[in-house]
Amino acid sequence: MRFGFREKKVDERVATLQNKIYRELYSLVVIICGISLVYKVFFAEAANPNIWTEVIILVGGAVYYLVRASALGIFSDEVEMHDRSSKLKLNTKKFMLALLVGIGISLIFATINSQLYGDSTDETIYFFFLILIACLLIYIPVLFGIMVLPYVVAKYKSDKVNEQQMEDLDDEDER
Amino acid sequence: MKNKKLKMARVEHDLSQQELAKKVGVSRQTIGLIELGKYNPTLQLCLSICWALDKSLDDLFWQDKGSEQ
Repeated sequence: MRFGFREKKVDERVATLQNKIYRELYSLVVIICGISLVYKVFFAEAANPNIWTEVIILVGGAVYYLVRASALGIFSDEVEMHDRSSKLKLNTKKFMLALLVGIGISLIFATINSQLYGDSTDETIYFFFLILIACLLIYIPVLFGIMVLPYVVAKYKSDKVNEQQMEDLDDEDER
Repeated sequence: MKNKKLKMARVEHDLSQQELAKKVGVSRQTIGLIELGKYNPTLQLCLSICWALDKSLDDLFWQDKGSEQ
């Protein structure tokens, strides 16, 4: 029932091109937010830069995409297409990235802080390994939680949605 | 690859690109680009065009592998 309103016709080519523009626009927003974030953290004069807006835009956008993609079941398809054309599985890539970033951050912190607080060579070496182990124990699980866990959960949800869709199709075939 | 079959069918019906576009519910440029082979329409749009011109999908859109239309 449309109460006399005419259905708005949409040209599919125009809609496709508009979607392409929206995609580019989102990339642009992410780039601008990223630049703003880097500037505020490293170059701005303020002691406590207000970066919540940028963080919310960046994290919120990523989370929204992940939730929508898994709810629609296309996340599994993305992973399948990636794994088909790549030597490393996406799962392995995420796992390794989290591990490398964790090790990288830990090494940076250990190097900087051991040199800052170590008075003698022995103490510096001792502090380096102490901080390195502590950072590895903290950052690797945290990064796994941020980078790998959402991926695993989204993949699981997406697989479930796909299974459900397939079951629905089978039911329709039987009818 | 130009779609001459579509252009011929449109002319057969004495329709301009604008008129066919209106019938199908797209813009004139879209019809023009399909005829020029610069836009691949979805199956739904192909069907709409076929219904508007009383033709089958084969009549307007089928092409043999590697053949020029």
